[in-house]
Amino acid sequence: MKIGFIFPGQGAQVQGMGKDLYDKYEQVKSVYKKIDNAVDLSLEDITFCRSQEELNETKNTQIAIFTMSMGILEILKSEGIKAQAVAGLSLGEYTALTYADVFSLEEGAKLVKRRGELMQNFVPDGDWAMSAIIGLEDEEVEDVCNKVCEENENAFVRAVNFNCPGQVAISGERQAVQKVMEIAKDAGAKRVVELKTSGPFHTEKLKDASERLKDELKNISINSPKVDVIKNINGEKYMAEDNIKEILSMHVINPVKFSKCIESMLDMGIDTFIEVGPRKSVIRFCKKSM
Amino acid sequence: MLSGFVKKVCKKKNMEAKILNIEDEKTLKNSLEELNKYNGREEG
Repeated sequence: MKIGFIFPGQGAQVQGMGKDLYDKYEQVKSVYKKIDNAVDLSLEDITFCRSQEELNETKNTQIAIFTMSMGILEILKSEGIKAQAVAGLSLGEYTALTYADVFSLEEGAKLVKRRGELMQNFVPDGDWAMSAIIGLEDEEVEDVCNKVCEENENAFVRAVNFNCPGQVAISGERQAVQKVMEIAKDAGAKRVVELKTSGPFHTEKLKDASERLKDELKNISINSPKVDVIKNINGEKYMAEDNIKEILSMHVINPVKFSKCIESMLDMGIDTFIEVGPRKSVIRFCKKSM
Repeated sequence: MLSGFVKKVCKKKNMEAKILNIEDEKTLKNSLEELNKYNGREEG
């Protein structure tokens, strides 16, 4: 059996997530305490006590999901369950890198906290939206985005999350996103779902956040991964010669190729995938659908 | 959410994989049982 751990990203969060595990397992409590101390927050308060709306704020969401996944990993560690390869969706790549000892738990937590703050606070003015297009090929969605941008002078929309065959998330200005949703529906998309996110994530509009994250990364110690970690940017594993800091700073402005990450893990012989963390479905976190 | 993505990638590649998730006590218990069953079969 070859095990791969996969870690969720923003959108999977649910108020109260992981509370039963926190209550039952001392090692989970210990992870929360270590992260609380490292980032000077109460993750218990953010995750278990505050409203779903507060948890949905990017600055809270990212660190809360990271903490829950790291807590579960401690249980798996105590059960002797290890992964041969790991990958995460967007934010989840930080969880994967922390599991692989690229960062310490504390440094990983500090980075994730800062990433969430930057992605929340350095979104340019505008009316932004993201949407999942379900039932069209990747190229078809990219073509529709390009068409909308070509036909409308100031339109901005990009295909940004290639989650799996037939499911692509787009990101950009609300009007352009809605136009793509309409065209995609007419072109045969099974479903188009607007996502609850606050910014044009994984596009060049997050350039300021990316540059600031690069500065943060300068102060972080990085080790070589102890297990194979698959990168979102191209679906290949991190290599010793990779500039991890550069890759992570570019991560917030580049598309996420999660589908390719899974393909690589299957090609490496991974036959058992364990999703570690909250898994609220994309359909349940939709804001509205057309 | 990610489990569904894995299923679709497996289908596209015509490959099979066991897909588990751990998000609470119930799914933790189920996943550990599954992993133990699998290990038991391999050892046996």
